[in-house]
Amino acid sequence: MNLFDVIRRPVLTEKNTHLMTMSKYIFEVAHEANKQMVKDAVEQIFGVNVTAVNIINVPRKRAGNRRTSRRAGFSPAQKKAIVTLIPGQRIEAFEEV
Amino acid sequence: MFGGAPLYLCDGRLKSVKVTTERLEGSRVGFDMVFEQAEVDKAMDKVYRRLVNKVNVPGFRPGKAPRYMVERVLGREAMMEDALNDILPDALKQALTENADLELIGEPEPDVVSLDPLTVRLVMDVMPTAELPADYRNIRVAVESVSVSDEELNRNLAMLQGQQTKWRFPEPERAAQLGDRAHVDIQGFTSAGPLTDKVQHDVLDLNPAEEGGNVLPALLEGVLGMKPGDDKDIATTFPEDYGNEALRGADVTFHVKLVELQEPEHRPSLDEVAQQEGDADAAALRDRIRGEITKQREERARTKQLDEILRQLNEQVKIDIPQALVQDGIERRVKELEERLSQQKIKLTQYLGYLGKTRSELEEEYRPEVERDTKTSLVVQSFAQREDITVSDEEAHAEAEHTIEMAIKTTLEREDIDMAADANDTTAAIASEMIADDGTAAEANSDSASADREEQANAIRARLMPMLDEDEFLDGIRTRLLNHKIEERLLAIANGEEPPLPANSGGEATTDSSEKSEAHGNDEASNDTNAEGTALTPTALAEQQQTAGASQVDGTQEAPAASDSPALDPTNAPTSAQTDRAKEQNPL
Repeated sequence: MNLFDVIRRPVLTEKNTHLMTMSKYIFEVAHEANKQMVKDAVEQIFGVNVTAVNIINVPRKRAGNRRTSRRAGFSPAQKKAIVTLIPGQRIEAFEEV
Repeated sequence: MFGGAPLYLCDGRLKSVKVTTERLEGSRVGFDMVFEQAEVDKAMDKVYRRLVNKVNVPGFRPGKAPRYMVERVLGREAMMEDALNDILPDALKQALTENADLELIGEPEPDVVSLDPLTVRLVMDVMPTAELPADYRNIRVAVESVSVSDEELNRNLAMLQGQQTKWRFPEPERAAQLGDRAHVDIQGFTSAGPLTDKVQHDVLDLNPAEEGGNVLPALLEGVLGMKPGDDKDIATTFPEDYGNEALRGADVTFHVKLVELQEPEHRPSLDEVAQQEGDADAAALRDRIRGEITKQREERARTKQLDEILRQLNEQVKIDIPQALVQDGIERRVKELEERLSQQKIKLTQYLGYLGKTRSELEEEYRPEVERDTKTSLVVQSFAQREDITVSDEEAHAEAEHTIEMAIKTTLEREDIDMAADANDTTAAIASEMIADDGTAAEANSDSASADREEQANAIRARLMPMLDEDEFLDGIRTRLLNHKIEERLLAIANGEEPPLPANSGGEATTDSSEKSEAHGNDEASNDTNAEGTALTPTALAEQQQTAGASQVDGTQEAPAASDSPALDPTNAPTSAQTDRAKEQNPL
């Protein structure tokens, strides 16, 4: 699987920005990805050293008002990876505009 | 809990802006500014902090998003623009300290040349300086001679007599005759229609023109012989010297109805009038009135002379007046018009509709006038600088105090009149006013009243005195004094009096330097005598400036000379010494 397909996008929220100061970066990753694949991808793409990868599965959820909205359905399920780097390392791409 | 300062704050070293100033044609100046990254960062940070609370960034509570997120949402360029607007004034200020003689006009509109490093090109209008011709002192304008003919004087006296006449209704009713006062309802019709929308009530004093009457002769003739209640159509032609130009020579029919007729009960003699007016006798009154009219006419002649001088000076000077300046002036005019109209409860749009003009047409109409006025004021400014006319702080202060005292005096007088008017007796009011003028107030009012006055005066003074510290008030006074001085000087020159050019600031600077040079040895002394000995022609002036500038570079002198010499004649290019100095400061 292509490295760039493993990592879908960074997840930028207030909480995650805070985690970044502890060298932890959150990505949304492909459903098929596992910790090893994420580690390889992050290390190669951003040129950093990953010490740990934790993965969370976020299941799909009901979304929209089922009685009124014709489009009511589910929010997509996603897989998130919390990537911990060697202390002090940064992924600068996160902070670029 | 949040570890460490955000990264974007880390590069804290501040460097100023590099500005290259370039003088362009037509009173314009170009600035090329290169901002240090640190400076831009600081400004950006300010913009970020201002905006962060208002921007909604998904995933962040309001005010919690980091700068790069805000930049992503709003766009880096947009924020840059804001930041630029923040730091531009400072950059301009810096540019102006290097070129102190520039006075910028209008709003800066920067063009961004590149973003990294932030480079900006800015072209602005500057206040132009009017270059007076070298022989501006040769201008001669004769003042119109003023005289008051006996006829005019008599008419004025008759008018006074008329004002003080007591009137009564004749018994029994009779026809109007000369000397009567007629209350009429009157409406004039010309071939173009009625002169007024409605019938107007008017009071006509039936006196022939030579006795101070101001009624058209035919109208006067027509009214004579009418009885109260009569109406009549009187046809005549407006005289060629009629006040309203549009009506001159027009045929008109007045529809007149005589409502009431009064005859004089007592027409005071000139001596009586003189007494009422506070003069000894008729002769004194005549002299005083003649003096007043003469003064008034002299004032008018003076204004006319001044206008002519300024017009001639204006013609001799060529300047490019920046459009921004003219536009400002035009807008001020329109605003004034709007205010005048609003007093009559008319909107500007209505007024324009009535005239059948658009706003831009009106503005174009103002343009030539405003251009001329702007030019005149520039010429006057330049003149004041060439002649070194200034108002010192002491003068301004003294004049301000004088103004306040005058204000107190008029206020008290008005109160006196009000008080007397309360007693429902206007003649008493006039009398008491006159008595007060004569300084015999104690006679009319008791001593306690005069003590009251003193107290009142002090109260008003206490209220007004703080104004002396108000810059706005003092500036107003200063402007008035300056204008007055300029007028005096212009008139003196035009009358050929050749007022001495005061020891100009260039001379002052040289005196200064000679004082200093005494300590250094006498090397400047020759320059000094030379400058003072030379006739004060503009070239000599320029030379003196050179000397002043040169002594500056020696390091013997500080700021005063630097600020004085360009102020004396900014039209000359800066002296070489000054240019050198500017270059040192500004290696670009």
